[in-house]
Amino acid sequence: MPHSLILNLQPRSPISPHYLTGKHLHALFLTLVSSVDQPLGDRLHEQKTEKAFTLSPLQIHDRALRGNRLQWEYGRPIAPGTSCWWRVSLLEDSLFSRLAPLWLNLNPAQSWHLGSADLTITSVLGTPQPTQPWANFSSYAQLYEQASEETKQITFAFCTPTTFRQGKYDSALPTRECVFHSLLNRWNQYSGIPFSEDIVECLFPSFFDIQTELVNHPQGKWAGCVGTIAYRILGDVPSATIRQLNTLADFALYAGVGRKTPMGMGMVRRLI
Amino acid sequence: MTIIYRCTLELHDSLYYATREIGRLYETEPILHNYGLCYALGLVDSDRHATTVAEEDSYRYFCPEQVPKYEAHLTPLNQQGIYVTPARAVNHATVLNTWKYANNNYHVEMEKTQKNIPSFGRAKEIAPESQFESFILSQKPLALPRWVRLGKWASKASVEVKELSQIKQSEGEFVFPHPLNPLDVMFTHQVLSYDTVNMPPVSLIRNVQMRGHYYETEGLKIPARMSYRFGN
Repeated sequence: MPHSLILNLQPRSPISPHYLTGKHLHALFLTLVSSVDQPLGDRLHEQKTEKAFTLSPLQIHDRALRGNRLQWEYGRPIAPGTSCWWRVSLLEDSLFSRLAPLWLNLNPAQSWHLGSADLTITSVLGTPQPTQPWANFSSYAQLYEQASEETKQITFAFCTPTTFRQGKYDSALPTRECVFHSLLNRWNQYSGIPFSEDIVECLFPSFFDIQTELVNHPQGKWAGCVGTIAYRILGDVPSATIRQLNTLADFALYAGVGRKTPMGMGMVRRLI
Repeated sequence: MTIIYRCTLELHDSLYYATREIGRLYETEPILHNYGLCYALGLVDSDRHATTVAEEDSYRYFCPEQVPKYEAHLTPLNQQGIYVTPARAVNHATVLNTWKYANNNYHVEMEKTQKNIPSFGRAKEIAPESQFESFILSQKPLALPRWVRLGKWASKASVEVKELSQIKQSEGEFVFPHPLNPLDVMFTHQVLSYDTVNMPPVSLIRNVQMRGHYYETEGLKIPARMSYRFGN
């Protein structure tokens, strides 16, 4: 059952921007997992290509939203006591229950570290919230059953920079193949309800307001796409295919799109 | 036959306990833990409720050691079929108080300190008039106090108890939006999804989607068969 969890955090000491990169948050998540289940932590660490989780960059709670974008870069340290949130999504069916001791036994006296900063986890949101569009859960079967058979418009918000592997190189342009094959691969890997690859052929981009943004990584800068893009299902398409495409669009909340989703890139949410 | 009471607590003082300590800030989460509520409502070690505990565990004003004895204190409530759920805030406001103090001993046997260093901090408290709501499940009618004292400041709160009627029992998947103690439901119910509120000694969960037995009353499905359990 995929879960999209929001961890509400408060730093006890300033978090330097240097430690707010995807790599450090990735390491923090593996530390959290290993603290309750060492073998599971090791296994997630070793997964090379398709990891069973995605992570967001750390977000400051009261920051005014810049459209649908999240913040992925910080110029200044985050001050102690600032309310922050962090999204963790789990794609494998059993991960949420295996990590239950982590969500339930979080000792407020215990702190977690991001660089030299101490963090306290104040709460974990796992159910839909009126003020937090990123918290949700649904079984794979439910995602499929609840997907529309009629909606032909699919609009995505790319909230953190998104990039795609194309052969040897990276491309930041969200073509229908890049976006939907990325979703389809993850869906087929975890859901147990496989869809065929050719369902994407009836999709055509109908609206886009996108641009490239750079993300700093130790290996250099990554270019990614942010903004809004809509695809329309055109032609005489069977309702089963429409349902499958809508399922994939709803699944994007959990799976993210493209590369480096366990490092905060490719956070994508369906808007309509 | 299980009796279910809806228990509403209204604060007449500001309520404080440290759910979290962030440097010099002490934060009170607007949620009342069910362990604390059992003590506040006078259900622990009570003749009236037949929950008296062994002499060495008895709940006294003076405790020789500062070690909580939840298991010894709450197991008699299981035997009497009394269970209290954690309370959620129906409506609440918070106040931030800054405190400082300096050492002003009148009589010092030790050598006097050279510097007079004040200590200071801030406490986020729950304001008076805030209301909390919890459910009390019991096998027999309970007489509960009209007034209780809560938290570190022993703040006064009024208690209003209403017995819920037309209780139906059934089984299936349901959502309970109010807070629960995970240890008390996890062994009898299959817990599917929830939000966690991180607080000692046992973090609480809410908006719980779960499968198992429940009581249905007043449009609410309350988990049945809850009892105090302790992870060892």
